[in-house]
Amino acid sequence: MAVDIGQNEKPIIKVEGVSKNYITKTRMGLFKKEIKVVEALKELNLEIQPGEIFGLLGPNGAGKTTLIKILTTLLIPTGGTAMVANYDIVEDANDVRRSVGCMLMGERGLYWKLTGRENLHLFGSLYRVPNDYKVKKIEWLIEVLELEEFIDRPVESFSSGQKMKVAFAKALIHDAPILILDEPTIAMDFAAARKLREVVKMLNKEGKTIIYTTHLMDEAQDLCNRIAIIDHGEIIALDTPENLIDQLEQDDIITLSGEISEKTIEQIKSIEGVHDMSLVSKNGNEHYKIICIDHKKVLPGLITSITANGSVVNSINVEEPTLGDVFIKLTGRSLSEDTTERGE
Amino acid sequence: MAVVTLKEFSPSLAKSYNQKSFTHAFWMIFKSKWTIISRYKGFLVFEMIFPTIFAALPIIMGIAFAGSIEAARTNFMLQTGTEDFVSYMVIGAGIYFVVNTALWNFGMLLRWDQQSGVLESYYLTTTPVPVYLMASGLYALSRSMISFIIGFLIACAVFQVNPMKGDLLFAIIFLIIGIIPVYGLSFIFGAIILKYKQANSIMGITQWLVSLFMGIFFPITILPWILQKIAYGFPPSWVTTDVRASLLGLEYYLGSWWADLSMLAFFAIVFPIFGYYFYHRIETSSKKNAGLGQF
Ligand SMILES: Nc1ncnc2c1ncn2[C@@H]1O[C@H](COP(=O)(O)OP(=O)(O)O)[C@@H](O)[C@H]1O
Ligand SMILES: [Mg+2]
Repeated sequence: MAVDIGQNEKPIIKVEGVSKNYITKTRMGLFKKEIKVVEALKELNLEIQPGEIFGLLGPNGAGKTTLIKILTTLLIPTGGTAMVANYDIVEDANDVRRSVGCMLMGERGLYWKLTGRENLHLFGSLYRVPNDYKVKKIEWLIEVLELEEFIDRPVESFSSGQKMKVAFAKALIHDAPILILDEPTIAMDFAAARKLREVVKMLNKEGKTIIYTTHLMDEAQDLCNRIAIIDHGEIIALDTPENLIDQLEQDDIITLSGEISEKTIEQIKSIEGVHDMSLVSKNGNEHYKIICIDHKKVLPGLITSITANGSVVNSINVEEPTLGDVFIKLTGRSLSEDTTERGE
Repeated sequence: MAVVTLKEFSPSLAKSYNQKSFTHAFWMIFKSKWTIISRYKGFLVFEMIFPTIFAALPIIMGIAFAGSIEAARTNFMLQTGTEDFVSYMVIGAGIYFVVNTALWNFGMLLRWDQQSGVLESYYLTTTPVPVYLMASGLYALSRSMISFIIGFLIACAVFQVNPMKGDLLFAIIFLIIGIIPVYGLSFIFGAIILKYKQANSIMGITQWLVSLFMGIFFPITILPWILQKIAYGFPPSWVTTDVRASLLGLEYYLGSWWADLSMLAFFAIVFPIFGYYFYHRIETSSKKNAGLGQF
């Protein structure tokens, strides 16, 4: 899955020392005011290459949405600069908006009294897409995202997942080279979420650069070429999912059950990368536990030794460390923890 | 899982298109707002009967205090120079209604767009914000003008006032030129609502101020000196006076119709520019903090 990303290519998104403070004022009685500063981003640096699916993974409150809003010109950073498609996010804001398709407030952002199709027409026009092109594009979106069944009903009658789909379609209407998706699957059921990721992959193959934020590690792992793990407004790790997991230096565990001959066991133990193989019993069921460096390197040899020696296997399972484990190692907390700071 | 078929159309096949002009975006925003309000029919009906209800109160009170409609006419003549106090009230109520609903519709619409997240969606597109503001403002104005004309005719019928007397053409010109500065005022008003998010209380205060300075039911000249001076800086006060002057043959502010019209034309240029400048300032300062999309 790792994509070779040319090192000397010019980044399509470049974030330099971007910080963002939110200032909240709370009245404490008649004259006293309490001013609180939330440091949502702390001098962040980031480069994203054209053609990547780049993941921003972090728990709630990490600063993902804040960064996305800065990159889409909705917010001006407190410090630092950022370039999107070679345009400055403050100086050339309109060019940035033309270059970015964006889905960032879940199911919000549509007119509830208009139908899905009317919304797409309105926003197509706001992105100033020529009419004939717009009409074709909407048909295409309806087909690819499977909107046919509900698109001509008012949005107020949609389910959350259906609203999300139309919001996603809205992000694609003007065919921007960069697609920024902020937790796009949050209100979707499993099948719809998988479908959306499939479309994202397809759009990426078509050449679009994609930035995808999520607090779900499975999603990031499935989709992204590179992932930045973000926590408390800082990037604490950035690499391909494979490398991030390798960093853990944690062993994979393969469990094996069936009729395994002595000869097979001996051969398996001698495979390079295998540390140990032992018989364990759990709830009266016996199985073998193989501890190895990387299951991908070990599995081919393992299967050969099983078949070559007439052993019979009932099941093979691989337990490998996940990005969630990476996050726990880096922060001591789990990804599902909420780290949002309240201004009150 | 359905396989994605690209058929004849695919994003990568799409050549980069030339962006369409803003006029199309302007028109689409305007049209969408009308489509949406047409799906709230009860609202529109209420708007049309509102001027009648609104003018009824002072008219009935005037008659009650003076004892008879003749006595009320004589009293009124002394203050305003016309004894046709029913027309006077109907005109006042009508113009107050146009100004007020233009501000109200615009403010509410901005606030709704903010709460539903649509405002933020607009900010993500390549149509500049002034186009959105102008289209939304035009919608608010056209809606209140249409309700005004229908509402005014209903009120004239109910109170048996002849709407066609006096210089109707002049009155309409004053109304059209005079409504443009209200456009500018609505940008200021809208920005304040977006920032402080207290649509109802801001609306309440504004309505009170507007009704005070506009002279809906009385001539501005009966206000205390200092309030009169403030009222002169407020374009709708001029509109009320000038429409009454042309329809009922009363005095113009500056003595002649062309002097008053020039003043309104001046307001029509200055207020929208200042209004947008004010909006833009609030927008920028918001973007430096939490943005206008927060609700
Ligand atoms: N408008 C705001 N005012 C004050 N604090 C905010 C505002 N928006 C976000 N924050 C704070 O900034 C931090 C980052 O939030 P956000 O970018 O929304 O995180 P994420 O998208 O990763 O969940 C959080 O601590 C959040 O409470
Ligand atoms: Mg978020």
